[in-house]
Amino acid sequence: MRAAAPRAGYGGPVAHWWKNNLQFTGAALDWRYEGIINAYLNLYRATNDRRWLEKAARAGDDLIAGQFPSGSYPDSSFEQNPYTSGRPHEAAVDIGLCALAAVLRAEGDPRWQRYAQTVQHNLYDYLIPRLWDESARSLRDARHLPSFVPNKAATFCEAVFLLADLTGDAAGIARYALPTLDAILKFQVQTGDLAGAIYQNQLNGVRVARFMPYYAARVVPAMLYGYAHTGRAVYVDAALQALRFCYRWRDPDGAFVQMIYPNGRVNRYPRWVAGAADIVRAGDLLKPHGFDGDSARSLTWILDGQHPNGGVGTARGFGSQSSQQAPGDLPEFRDILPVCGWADKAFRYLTGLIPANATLPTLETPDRADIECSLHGRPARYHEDRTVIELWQRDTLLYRWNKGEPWAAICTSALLWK
Amino acid sequence: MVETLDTTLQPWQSPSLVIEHVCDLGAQTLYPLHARGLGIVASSADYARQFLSRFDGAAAVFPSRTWYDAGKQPYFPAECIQAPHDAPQVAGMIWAEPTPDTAAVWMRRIDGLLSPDGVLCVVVAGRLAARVPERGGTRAFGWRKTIQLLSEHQFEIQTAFTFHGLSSYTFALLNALWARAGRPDLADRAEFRMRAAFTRAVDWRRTVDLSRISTLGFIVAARK
Repeated sequence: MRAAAPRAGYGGPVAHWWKNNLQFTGAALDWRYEGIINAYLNLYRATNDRRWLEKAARAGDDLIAGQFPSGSYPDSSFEQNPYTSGRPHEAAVDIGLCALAAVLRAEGDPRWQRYAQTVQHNLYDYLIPRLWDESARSLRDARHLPSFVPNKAATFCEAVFLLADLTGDAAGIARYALPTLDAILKFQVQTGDLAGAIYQNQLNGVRVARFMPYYAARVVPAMLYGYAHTGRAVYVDAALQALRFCYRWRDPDGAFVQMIYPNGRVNRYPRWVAGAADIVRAGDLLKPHGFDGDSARSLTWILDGQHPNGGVGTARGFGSQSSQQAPGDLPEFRDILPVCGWADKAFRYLTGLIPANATLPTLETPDRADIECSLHGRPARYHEDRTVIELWQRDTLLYRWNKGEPWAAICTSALLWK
Repeated sequence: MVETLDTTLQPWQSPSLVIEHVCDLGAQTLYPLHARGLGIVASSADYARQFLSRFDGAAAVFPSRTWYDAGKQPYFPAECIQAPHDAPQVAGMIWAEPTPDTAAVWMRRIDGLLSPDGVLCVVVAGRLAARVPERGGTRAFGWRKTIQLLSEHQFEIQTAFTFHGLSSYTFALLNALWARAGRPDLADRAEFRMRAAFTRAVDWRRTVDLSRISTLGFIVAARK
């Protein structure tokens, strides 16, 4: 999935609940780097093999090389690319860089300072001057509009905590992270079926009553940093409530419901496969604090979504997004599409399960995957090898991405949907 | 990506969905030709910025209306602005969009600017185009006249699409109605149907085609 031009980095098509982006496939400096860097660091910790550390550093170098003079990152908007200023993506990038810098610093490797400076530049020269709302004491989602998205703000807080750990300067925690965490707390439902859920966002003072387990789980790490820094139990309680909400809305097969609305209405599909790893990881983070949810079923759900060549599918049920009828036997094209910004979540979680001093097994992994799937209710065939991702319907080629290219080579009208 | 372009754009809010569609399609169509030179004939600053950012700033920009003023748009890369009479030929051209007062003149200029085997992509305003802010209030030239003009200059249409037509508008309306009725779950489903119905491949040979009742159209043409 690595691209060389016009910018080095990890590319590929994107499928998401909000929008698809099958045409732009260039290297995107977005939240995929949070997972990719952390996953390589997990492998390094587990094996002591410096090859993994250097892969993490190469990813970090993508970000240093790509950063604009302003501090922003190019093509940082994931499903909305190609645009800059992606939220929470730029802060998520910073999380990855901070993790890399921390490992290097612990080893006395002076490179850590460049990665930390990149984060400092993004947070304090770009995001905060443009998005910090002093009157609301929280981070906006839109520059000129009163707006707040708790999960995005939590990602920002996480980056602020991690950078403070690196620099030893905790001023940003008191000024930005803790007030933002307190703002997030006000968005958590306290009672009823939705207890623990977190409102998706607020725009112009109006809260949007949509509740997504995935995004509730994304709030957990920041809350735990808040707890570690202050000792205030309210943060860890909020994190526990959020995860319990997620697990209450888990199906028997280990997958999590996509969206819950007031009065218990749901839009269940698509249910994340690779992305579910972020929820399970949050559960693991909370186990020392009393969370007792069983993650085994969800781990099986994620592993069942892995392709023979190692790629991890994005979801199940994209074809049911409009109807919300139970999906058929064949996954939809977007379900099996291995998207960098989702697969990184599984990569990070799974590598985190490898015990210390492990010797990784040598695997005979095929370099291609051919999977029967569907598109618009009709059978189709997904093909991937080292050079391309393709979608065929009978003898007609509907989609082709030549890996490394910034735009899909073929994207027929059947797939021109966002 | 050219940051100054994106900064002067509107980095904290997304462009219209229809603009994203036509600009991504334009970039995807012409990317294979980028090494041989690309050009953008733009009737508004937003069209120029959106396409230019997708070409990483590597395209010649020809303002077809007087939207460019170096003094007022200091962030627009002035080196990209070119005059048609002394610009080199390009292999791919975006024309977004023909306007009634300048279409004939620019068609002749494009004829000279585009290499003999070049590809021309034309963004065409549909009957529902007035609400697209990025068009800068441009008057629509229309499908029929655009096709006629291309034909007069020996261009053959290879494919054509429309965006946000009657069916997607219907689902957009349903989305708003369900939201107002307090059913965000059904509103979301209507939005997904709207997005699924957003793009239509059209038969440009038919004189009466309801799919042409749309917000914007996109034509890919090459010389016969």
